[in-house]
Amino acid sequence: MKGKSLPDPDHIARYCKPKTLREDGRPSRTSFMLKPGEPYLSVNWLEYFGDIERNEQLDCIRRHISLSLASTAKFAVLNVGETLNQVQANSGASHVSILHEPTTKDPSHSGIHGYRHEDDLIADLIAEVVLEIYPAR
Amino acid sequence: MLNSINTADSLIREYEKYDAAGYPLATTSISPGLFEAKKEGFPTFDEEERKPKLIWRHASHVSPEAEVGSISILVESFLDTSAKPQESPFDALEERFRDREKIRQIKKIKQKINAIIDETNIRFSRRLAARLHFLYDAVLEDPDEDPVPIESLVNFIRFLQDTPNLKYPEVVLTPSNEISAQWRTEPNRHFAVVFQMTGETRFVIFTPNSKDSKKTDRLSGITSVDTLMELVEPHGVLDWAVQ
Repeated sequence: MKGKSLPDPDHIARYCKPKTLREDGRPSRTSFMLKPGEPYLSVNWLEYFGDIERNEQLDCIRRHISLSLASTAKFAVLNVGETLNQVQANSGASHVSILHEPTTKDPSHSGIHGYRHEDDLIADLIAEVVLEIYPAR
Repeated sequence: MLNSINTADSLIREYEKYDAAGYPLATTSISPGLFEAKKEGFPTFDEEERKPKLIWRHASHVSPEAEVGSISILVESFLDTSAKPQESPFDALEERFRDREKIRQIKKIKQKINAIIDETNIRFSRRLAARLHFLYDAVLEDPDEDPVPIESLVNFIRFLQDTPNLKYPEVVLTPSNEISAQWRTEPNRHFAVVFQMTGETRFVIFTPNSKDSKKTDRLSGITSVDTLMELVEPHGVLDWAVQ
Protein backbone atom coordinates (compact mmCIF):
# COMPACT_ATOMS: atom_id res chain seq x y z
CA MET A 1 0.00 0.00 0.00
CA LYS A 2 1.37 3.41 -0.91
CA GLY A 3 1.70 5.77 2.04
CA LYS A 4 2.48 9.45 2.42
CA SER A 5 5.56 11.08 0.90
CA LEU A 6 8.46 11.56 3.29
CA PRO A 7 9.47 15.19 4.00
CA ASP A 8 12.42 16.42 1.90
CA PRO A 9 14.61 17.40 4.90
CA ASP A 10 14.29 13.89 6.42
CA HIS A 11 16.60 10.92 5.92
CA ILE A 12 16.33 7.29 4.92
CA ALA A 13 18.59 4.30 5.60
CA ARG A 14 19.14 1.49 3.13
CA TYR A 15 20.39 -1.90 4.33
CA CYS A 16 23.30 -2.83 2.01
CA LYS A 17 24.26 -6.50 1.81
CA PRO A 18 27.99 -7.37 1.83
CA LYS A 19 27.85 -8.59 -1.79
CA THR A 20 26.82 -5.09 -2.88
CA LEU A 21 29.60 -3.25 -1.03
CA ARG A 22 32.69 -2.01 -2.81
CA GLU A 23 36.13 -3.18 -1.76
CA ASP A 24 36.52 -0.04 0.37
CA GLY A 25 33.28 -0.93 2.18
CA ARG A 26 31.16 1.81 0.65
CA PRO A 27 27.75 1.00 -0.89
CA SER A 28 27.89 0.47 -4.63
CA ARG A 29 25.31 0.96 -7.37
CA THR A 30 23.93 -2.55 -6.74
CA SER A 31 23.03 -1.58 -3.15
CA PHE A 32 20.24 0.45 -4.75
CA MET A 33 19.12 -1.97 -7.45
CA LEU A 34 15.80 -3.81 -7.25
CA LYS A 35 15.26 -7.51 -7.70
CA PRO A 36 13.16 -8.38 -10.77
CA GLY A 37 9.51 -7.95 -9.78
CA GLU A 38 10.21 -5.92 -6.64
CA PRO A 39 7.76 -3.00 -6.59
CA TYR A 40 10.08 -0.54 -4.82
CA LEU A 41 13.40 -0.25 -3.02
CA SER A 42 12.99 -0.90 0.69
CA VAL A 43 14.44 1.74 3.00
CA ASN A 44 13.74 2.95 6.55
CA TRP A 45 12.68 6.45 7.56
CA LEU A 46 15.07 7.65 10.23
CA GLU A 47 13.06 10.62 11.58
CA TYR A 48 10.06 8.32 12.18
CA PHE A 49 11.66 7.57 15.56
CA GLY A 50 11.87 11.25 16.47
CA ASP A 51 14.54 13.87 16.82
CA ILE A 52 17.18 11.65 18.41
CA GLU A 53 20.81 10.89 17.61
CA ARG A 54 21.51 9.07 14.35
CA ASN A 55 22.87 6.03 16.16
CA GLU A 56 19.70 5.82 18.26
CA GLN A 57 17.55 6.05 15.14
CA LEU A 58 19.56 3.24 13.59
CA ASP A 59 19.25 1.14 16.75
CA CYS A 60 15.46 1.46 16.44
CA ILE A 61 15.69 0.28 12.84
CA ARG A 62 17.96 -2.64 13.81
CA ARG A 63 15.34 -3.74 16.33
CA HIS A 64 12.44 -3.65 13.86
CA ILE A 65 13.86 -4.52 10.45
CA SER A 66 12.69 -7.89 9.17
CA LEU A 67 16.06 -8.99 7.80
CA SER A 68 18.89 -10.97 9.31
CA LEU A 69 21.68 -8.39 9.47
CA ALA A 70 25.06 -9.64 8.24
CA SER A 71 28.07 -8.68 10.36
CA THR A 72 29.83 -6.92 7.47
CA ALA A 73 26.72 -5.27 5.98
CA LYS A 74 26.16 -1.51 6.15
CA PHE A 75 23.40 1.05 6.40
CA ALA A 76 23.64 3.85 3.84
CA VAL A 77 21.96 7.08 4.93
CA LEU A 78 20.52 9.44 2.31
CA ASN A 79 18.60 12.68 2.41
CA VAL A 80 15.09 12.41 0.95
CA GLY A 81 15.04 15.69 -1.00
CA GLU A 82 18.59 15.32 -2.31
CA THR A 83 17.91 11.78 -3.51
CA LEU A 84 14.77 12.79 -5.35
CA ASN A 85 16.42 15.84 -6.86
CA GLN A 86 19.44 13.82 -8.00
CA VAL A 87 17.28 11.22 -9.75
CA GLN A 88 14.73 13.61 -11.21
CA ALA A 89 17.27 16.14 -12.49
CA ASN A 90 19.72 13.66 -13.99
CA SER A 91 17.56 10.84 -15.33
CA GLY A 92 14.31 12.54 -16.24
CA ALA A 93 12.44 10.09 -13.99
CA SER A 94 10.03 12.65 -12.53
CA HIS A 95 7.77 9.92 -11.17
CA VAL A 96 10.26 8.69 -8.55
CA SER A 97 8.98 9.19 -5.01
CA ILE A 98 9.85 8.09 -1.47
CA LEU A 99 6.79 6.90 0.46
CA HIS A 100 6.16 5.62 3.96
CA GLU A 101 5.23 1.90 3.78
CA PRO A 102 4.85 0.86 7.42
CA THR A 103 4.38 -2.77 8.38
CA THR A 104 3.22 -4.12 11.73
CA LYS A 105 6.72 -5.25 12.57
CA ASP A 106 8.66 -2.43 10.93
CA PRO A 107 6.84 0.91 11.41
CA SER A 108 9.52 3.06 9.74
CA HIS A 109 9.62 0.91 6.60
CA SER A 110 9.45 3.03 3.46
CA GLY A 111 10.11 2.65 -0.25
CA ILE A 112 11.71 4.44 -3.18
CA HIS A 113 9.06 4.07 -5.88
CA GLY A 114 9.09 4.70 -9.60
CA TYR A 115 11.89 2.59 -11.03
CA ARG A 116 12.43 -1.01 -12.08
CA HIS A 117 15.18 -3.56 -11.61
CA GLU A 118 16.74 -2.78 -15.00
CA ASP A 119 16.89 0.98 -14.38
CA ASP A 120 20.58 0.91 -13.52
CA LEU A 121 21.07 4.61 -14.25
CA ILE A 122 18.79 5.48 -11.34
CA ALA A 123 20.64 3.09 -9.01
CA ASP A 124 23.93 4.74 -10.05
CA LEU A 125 22.54 8.20 -9.35
CA ILE A 126 21.24 7.20 -5.91
CA ALA A 127 24.62 5.68 -5.01
CA GLU A 128 26.23 9.07 -5.66
CA VAL A 129 24.26 10.85 -2.92
CA VAL A 130 24.98 8.56 0.03
CA LEU A 131 25.65 10.89 2.98
CA GLU A 132 26.71 8.55 5.77
CA ILE A 133 27.57 4.87 6.25
CA TYR A 134 27.07 2.85 9.44
CA PRO A 135 27.66 -0.79 10.36
CA ALA A 136 24.47 -2.82 10.04
CA ARG A 137 25.04 -4.43 13.46
CA MET B 1 39.58 -13.23 3.05
CA LEU B 2 41.26 -16.54 3.86
CA ASN B 3 38.82 -17.14 6.70
CA SER B 4 35.93 -16.43 4.43
CA ILE B 5 37.14 -18.90 1.80
CA ASN B 6 37.73 -21.51 4.46
CA THR B 7 34.21 -21.08 5.83
CA ALA B 8 32.69 -21.64 2.40
CA ASP B 9 34.91 -24.62 1.68
CA SER B 10 34.01 -26.24 4.96
CA LEU B 11 30.33 -25.69 4.19
CA ILE B 12 30.82 -27.34 0.81
CA ARG B 13 32.61 -30.27 2.43
CA GLU B 14 29.74 -30.56 4.90
CA TYR B 15 27.23 -30.80 2.05
CA GLU B 16 29.29 -33.39 0.25
CA LYS B 17 28.21 -35.75 2.99
CA TYR B 18 24.76 -35.89 1.37
CA ASP B 19 23.80 -38.34 -1.37
CA ALA B 20 22.36 -37.40 -4.77
CA ALA B 21 18.81 -37.57 -3.43
CA GLY B 22 19.65 -35.12 -0.69
CA TYR B 23 19.96 -37.50 2.21
CA PRO B 24 23.03 -37.65 4.43
CA LEU B 25 25.56 -40.34 3.67
CA ALA B 26 26.94 -40.20 7.19
CA THR B 27 24.65 -41.91 9.69
CA THR B 28 23.41 -39.90 12.62
CA SER B 29 22.71 -41.24 16.11
CA ILE B 30 19.07 -42.16 16.53
CA SER B 31 17.09 -43.91 19.25
CA PRO B 32 16.51 -47.68 18.90
CA GLY B 33 12.75 -47.17 18.63
CA LEU B 34 13.10 -44.82 15.70
CA PHE B 35 15.71 -47.03 14.13
CA GLU B 36 13.12 -49.81 14.02
CA ALA B 37 10.48 -47.46 12.69
CA LYS B 38 12.60 -46.33 9.77
CA LYS B 39 12.47 -49.77 8.29
CA GLU B 40 8.77 -49.19 7.65
CA GLY B 41 9.12 -45.90 5.76
CA PHE B 42 8.55 -42.18 6.32
CA PRO B 43 6.31 -40.55 8.90
CA THR B 44 3.62 -38.21 7.56
CA PHE B 45 2.46 -34.93 9.01
CA ASP B 46 -1.06 -34.30 10.28
CA GLU B 47 -1.92 -30.82 9.00
CA GLU B 48 -4.96 -30.46 11.30
CA GLU B 49 -3.25 -31.60 14.47
CA ARG B 50 0.00 -29.78 13.55
CA LYS B 51 2.06 -32.76 14.65
CA PRO B 52 3.60 -35.87 13.10
CA LYS B 53 1.33 -38.83 12.55
CA LEU B 54 2.78 -42.15 13.53
CA ILE B 55 1.61 -43.71 10.32
CA TRP B 56 4.36 -45.03 8.13
CA ARG B 57 4.36 -45.32 4.42
CA HIS B 58 6.85 -46.90 2.11
CA ALA B 59 9.60 -44.75 0.61
CA SER B 60 11.28 -46.80 -2.07
CA HIS B 61 13.79 -44.12 -3.16
CA VAL B 62 15.76 -44.10 0.08
CA SER B 63 19.11 -45.76 -0.34
CA PRO B 64 20.09 -48.16 2.46
CA GLU B 65 23.12 -46.14 3.51
CA ALA B 66 21.01 -43.00 3.77
CA GLU B 67 18.00 -44.35 5.67
CA VAL B 68 19.07 -43.51 9.20
CA GLY B 69 20.11 -40.00 8.35
CA SER B 70 16.95 -39.24 6.38
CA ILE B 71 14.77 -40.29 9.30
CA SER B 72 16.86 -38.13 11.56
CA ILE B 73 16.29 -35.06 9.34
CA LEU B 74 12.55 -35.64 9.41
CA VAL B 75 12.51 -36.14 13.16
CA GLU B 76 14.45 -32.89 13.60
CA SER B 77 11.90 -31.15 11.41
CA PHE B 78 9.01 -32.55 13.45
CA LEU B 79 10.58 -31.47 16.71
CA ASP B 80 10.89 -27.98 15.30
CA THR B 81 7.12 -27.66 14.70
CA SER B 82 6.49 -26.48 18.26
CA ALA B 83 8.58 -23.38 17.53
CA LYS B 84 6.90 -22.65 14.20
CA PRO B 85 3.37 -24.06 14.41
CA GLN B 86 2.30 -22.39 11.15
CA GLU B 87 4.88 -24.23 9.02
CA SER B 88 4.93 -27.79 7.86
CA PRO B 89 8.10 -29.68 8.83
CA PHE B 90 8.50 -30.44 5.16
CA ASP B 91 9.18 -26.72 4.57
CA ALA B 92 12.38 -27.07 6.57
CA LEU B 93 13.35 -30.09 4.52
CA GLU B 94 12.62 -28.23 1.28
CA GLU B 95 14.71 -25.29 2.47
CA ARG B 96 17.60 -27.65 3.13
CA PHE B 97 17.34 -28.97 -0.44
CA ARG B 98 17.39 -25.39 -1.77
CA ASP B 99 20.52 -24.70 0.27
CA ARG B 100 22.15 -27.78 -1.20
CA GLU B 101 21.41 -26.54 -4.71
CA LYS B 102 22.95 -23.16 -3.87
CA ILE B 103 26.05 -24.86 -2.43
CA ARG B 104 26.35 -26.99 -5.57
CA GLN B 105 26.12 -23.90 -7.81
CA ILE B 106 28.69 -22.02 -5.77
CA LYS B 107 31.02 -25.01 -5.83
CA LYS B 108 30.85 -24.90 -9.64
CA ILE B 109 31.44 -21.16 -9.59
CA LYS B 110 34.44 -21.55 -7.32
CA GLN B 111 35.98 -24.01 -9.79
CA LYS B 112 35.40 -21.41 -12.50
CA ILE B 113 37.04 -18.71 -10.37
CA ASN B 114 40.10 -20.88 -9.78
CA ALA B 115 40.32 -21.40 -13.54
CA ILE B 116 40.57 -17.61 -13.96
CA ILE B 117 44.00 -17.75 -12.35
CA ASP B 118 45.23 -20.77 -14.27
CA GLU B 119 43.64 -20.50 -17.69
CA THR B 120 43.08 -16.86 -18.64
CA ASN B 121 45.17 -13.96 -19.86
CA ILE B 122 43.62 -11.54 -17.38
CA ARG B 123 46.45 -9.54 -15.82
CA PHE B 124 44.74 -8.99 -12.47
CA SER B 125 43.47 -12.58 -12.31
CA ARG B 126 44.62 -13.30 -8.72
CA ARG B 127 43.12 -10.13 -7.30
CA LEU B 128 39.91 -10.70 -9.24
CA ALA B 129 39.65 -14.33 -8.12
CA ALA B 130 40.07 -13.30 -4.48
CA ARG B 131 37.35 -10.67 -4.88
CA LEU B 132 34.95 -13.12 -6.53
CA HIS B 133 35.57 -15.73 -3.83
CA PHE B 134 34.68 -13.08 -1.24
CA LEU B 135 31.45 -12.09 -3.02
CA TYR B 136 30.17 -15.63 -3.57
CA ASP B 137 31.05 -16.56 0.02
CA ALA B 138 28.86 -13.65 1.11
CA VAL B 139 25.98 -15.17 -0.92
CA LEU B 140 26.63 -18.61 0.52
CA GLU B 141 26.49 -17.32 4.07
CA ASP B 142 23.14 -15.54 3.58
CA PRO B 143 20.18 -17.93 3.99
CA ASP B 144 17.83 -15.54 2.17
CA GLU B 145 19.87 -15.47 -1.03
CA ASP B 146 18.68 -16.54 -4.46
CA PRO B 147 20.46 -19.01 -6.75
CA VAL B 148 23.66 -17.87 -8.39
CA PRO B 149 23.74 -17.69 -12.22
CA ILE B 150 27.14 -19.02 -13.32
CA GLU B 151 26.45 -17.68 -16.84
CA SER B 152 26.89 -14.13 -15.59
CA LEU B 153 30.41 -14.92 -14.38
CA VAL B 154 31.23 -16.73 -17.63
CA ASN B 155 30.11 -13.69 -19.67
CA PHE B 156 32.13 -11.34 -17.49
CA ILE B 157 35.30 -13.40 -17.84
CA ARG B 158 34.76 -13.64 -21.60
CA PHE B 159 34.47 -9.85 -21.76
CA LEU B 160 37.68 -9.34 -19.78
CA GLN B 161 39.55 -11.80 -21.98
CA ASP B 162 38.35 -10.09 -25.15
CA THR B 163 39.27 -6.64 -23.79
CA PRO B 164 42.72 -7.26 -22.32
CA ASN B 165 43.80 -3.67 -21.56
CA LEU B 166 41.05 -2.86 -19.09
CA LYS B 167 41.94 -1.65 -15.61
CA TYR B 168 40.90 -3.67 -12.59
CA PRO B 169 37.18 -2.92 -12.09
CA GLU B 170 35.08 -2.50 -8.97
CA VAL B 171 33.17 -5.81 -8.88
CA VAL B 172 29.99 -6.42 -6.87
CA LEU B 173 26.89 -8.60 -7.22
CA THR B 174 23.38 -7.42 -8.10
CA PRO B 175 20.32 -8.46 -6.05
CA SER B 176 19.93 -11.36 -8.55
CA ASN B 177 23.59 -12.33 -8.01
CA GLU B 178 24.72 -11.21 -11.45
CA ILE B 179 28.15 -9.59 -11.81
CA SER B 180 28.31 -5.80 -11.91
CA ALA B 181 31.66 -4.29 -12.92
CA GLN B 182 32.44 -0.58 -12.78
CA TRP B 183 35.27 1.59 -14.08
CA ARG B 184 35.03 5.09 -12.59
CA THR B 185 37.68 7.72 -12.10
CA GLU B 186 35.47 10.85 -11.77
CA PRO B 187 31.73 11.44 -11.39
CA ASN B 188 31.68 12.18 -15.15
CA ARG B 189 33.97 9.29 -16.11
CA HIS B 190 31.84 6.36 -15.13
CA PHE B 191 31.28 3.09 -17.00
CA ALA B 192 29.29 0.35 -15.27
CA VAL B 193 28.05 -2.96 -16.65
CA VAL B 194 25.78 -5.76 -15.42
CA PHE B 195 26.60 -9.09 -17.05
CA GLN B 196 23.28 -10.87 -17.33
CA MET B 197 22.89 -14.61 -17.46
CA THR B 198 21.31 -14.27 -20.92
CA GLY B 199 24.55 -13.08 -22.55
CA GLU B 200 23.31 -9.51 -22.68
CA THR B 201 24.76 -6.63 -20.72
CA ARG B 202 23.14 -3.56 -19.20
CA PHE B 203 25.49 -0.61 -19.23
CA VAL B 204 25.57 2.94 -17.87
CA ILE B 205 27.99 5.67 -18.96
CA PHE B 206 28.57 9.12 -17.43
CA THR B 207 30.94 11.04 -19.70
CA PRO B 208 31.81 14.71 -20.42
CA ASN B 209 29.70 16.26 -23.14
CA SER B 210 31.71 16.51 -26.35
CA LYS B 211 30.80 20.18 -26.94
CA ASP B 212 30.76 21.42 -23.33
CA SER B 213 32.98 19.40 -21.02
CA LYS B 214 31.38 20.99 -17.93
CA LYS B 215 28.20 19.13 -18.79
CA THR B 216 27.78 15.39 -18.28
CA ASP B 217 26.13 13.02 -20.73
CA ARG B 218 24.35 10.10 -19.05
CA LEU B 219 23.55 7.06 -21.17
CA SER B 220 22.26 3.59 -20.49
CA GLY B 221 21.41 0.65 -22.71
CA ILE B 222 21.40 -3.07 -23.35
CA THR B 223 23.64 -4.96 -25.74
CA SER B 224 25.35 -8.32 -26.06
CA VAL B 225 28.72 -9.02 -24.43
CA ASP B 226 30.27 -9.29 -27.90
CA THR B 227 29.24 -5.80 -29.01
CA LEU B 228 29.58 -3.92 -25.74
CA MET B 229 32.99 -2.31 -26.33
CA GLU B 230 32.16 -1.47 -29.93
CA LEU B 231 29.05 0.34 -28.73
CA VAL B 232 30.58 2.23 -25.80
CA GLU B 233 33.95 3.15 -27.32
CA PRO B 234 32.67 6.28 -29.16
CA HIS B 235 31.64 7.68 -25.75
CA GLY B 236 35.24 7.83 -24.58
CA VAL B 237 35.07 4.95 -22.15
CA LEU B 238 38.54 3.75 -23.11
CA ASP B 239 39.99 7.09 -21.92
CA TRP B 240 39.53 6.06 -18.30
CA ALA B 241 38.78 2.31 -18.33
CA VAL B 242 41.99 1.05 -19.89
CA GLN B 243 45.56 1.02 -18.55
